[in-house]
Amino acid sequence: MVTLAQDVLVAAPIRDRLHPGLVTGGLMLLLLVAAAVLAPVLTPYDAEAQDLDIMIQAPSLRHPFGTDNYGRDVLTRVLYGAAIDLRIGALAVVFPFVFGSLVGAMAGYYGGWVDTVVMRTVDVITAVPFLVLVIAIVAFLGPGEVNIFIAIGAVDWVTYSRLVRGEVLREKNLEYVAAARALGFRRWRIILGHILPNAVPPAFIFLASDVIVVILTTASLGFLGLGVRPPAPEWGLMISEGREFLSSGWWIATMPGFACMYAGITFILLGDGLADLLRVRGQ
Amino acid sequence: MNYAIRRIGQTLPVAALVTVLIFLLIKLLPGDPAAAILGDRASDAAIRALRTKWGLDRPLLEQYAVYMRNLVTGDLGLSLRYQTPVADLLPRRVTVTLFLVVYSMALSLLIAVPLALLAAIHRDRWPDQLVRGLIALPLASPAFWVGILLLIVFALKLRWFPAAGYGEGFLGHLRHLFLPALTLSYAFAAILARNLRSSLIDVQATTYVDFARAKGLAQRAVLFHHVLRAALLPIVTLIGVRLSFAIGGSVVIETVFALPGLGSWMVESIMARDYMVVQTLTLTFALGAMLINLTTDLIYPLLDPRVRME
Repeated sequence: MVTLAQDVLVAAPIRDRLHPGLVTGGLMLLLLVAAAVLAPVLTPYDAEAQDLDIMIQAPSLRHPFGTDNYGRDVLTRVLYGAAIDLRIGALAVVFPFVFGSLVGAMAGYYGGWVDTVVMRTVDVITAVPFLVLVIAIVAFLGPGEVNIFIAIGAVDWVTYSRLVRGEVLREKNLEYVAAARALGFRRWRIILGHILPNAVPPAFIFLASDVIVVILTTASLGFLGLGVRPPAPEWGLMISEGREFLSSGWWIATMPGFACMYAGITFILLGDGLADLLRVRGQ
Repeated sequence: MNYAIRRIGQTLPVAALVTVLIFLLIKLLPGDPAAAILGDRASDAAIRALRTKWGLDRPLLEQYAVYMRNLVTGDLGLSLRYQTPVADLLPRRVTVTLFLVVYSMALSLLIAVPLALLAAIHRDRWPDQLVRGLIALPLASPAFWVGILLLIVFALKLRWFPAAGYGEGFLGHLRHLFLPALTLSYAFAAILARNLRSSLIDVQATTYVDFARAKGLAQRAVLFHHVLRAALLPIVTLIGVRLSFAIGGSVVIETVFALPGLGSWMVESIMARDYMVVQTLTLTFALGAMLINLTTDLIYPLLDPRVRME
């Protein structure tokens, strides 16, 4: 992916390299990663240790986001939570992106029964609403972070396949592919080395919005009690735990949601910015 | 007509394969499925009986045959939690979810159409920028959290709407389901507004709209009679696709607002390890989503004469 990014940055004129959305998104991401990594330094409190003397305290200077029903500092938990949600968001899309792109490229390049098998599978998985299928898989496998990865991996690759297949169908009849074939290159070399780099940009753009989908899905699973297990400060789980205290302590459920929203906006800006950049390159 | 038959012909094999996929879910259970379904306290005899009933000791293909035979004959399994056949509980639950989803679609249109018109009319000026900015927010925030915010403000603080339940009678449903439907429509309205905005801009650039203007029709008449009608067309397909998303979202939203629909039932059943119900509900959601997509695809040619001609 480094080559792709370099390619884009070199090809785009300077004005577009400083795309305002991309720069803002990049800075916001930097801040988010910093919050996740530096949480132990940024806050004097522990994310999981309970202090029943300061239960459900409203936001104050000492506790800017208030405290929860176990007397834990909500801001601290939101910061530590960034590491969990960001890690799942970033890691869970890797397999779908790689596997989906490869399978989609194969389907597009070989056509015939390979294409039929891949595309029917894609149709079947797409037919079931995304969240329902992920929830169902986790329901049978059991809760926990690893099972989130499995469920998302099993369902999420289909979009990448569809995107890359479409691009490969377009690319494979172009002259440079014929040239590579005439030079006697092996099929795998043609697919991986020649077609895929040109077919993957739409999937790469989708990656940014997919991270949002995965983070929101992880939060939904946490909220339903099917995701990361307590007392871990996962954002969705925190929102769920705060539900019992909506009247007495609204901040417990609301604050982690704002963090989630911040992460979402970050990746929307990055995704839109990347899309603009690649469009510039395409022209 | 040919189109309709072809479209239905494409859907049926996919629907059949969806049953295979959902049948296989039960294989994800760690250990012996019969033991897992009946729980720790089940006797060996009960586990053996269930295994025989479902043919779990037979080859996989035969198990699937049994599963399909049960489905087709309307035997959707037994809810262990309620000790009642799933088929008996299903209709009431479906009604709630259907009401919620349709309600949220209606709200989405009510929100999205004015926003899109505003943005398209003032293209690239501040109302447009504002609408485009607003549209990004719902896509970035978890729906269940938005539901909780609405709950805190409008149900707990202002007390305008009830915090939970389905209500009595049509008006009661409308009142009880307003906040959940609004929550569910929030993200959809944003996507709708975004697509409708670009669709409106595209239509405004067509020659027949120029012609309508040249005829001397008032700006407003052109906008509502010519532009909006044509711009809403591509949105029909989008509604189909997004409805299936809304169905997925209902699982979480029904839990937030304690609604007795399919989604909250699915979550309850997961917690109660009522796996047969989970499996049946997953299938219900999937077939429901497929039916909605098929319907919008079949309606589309009726609305757009250009497609009908082909």
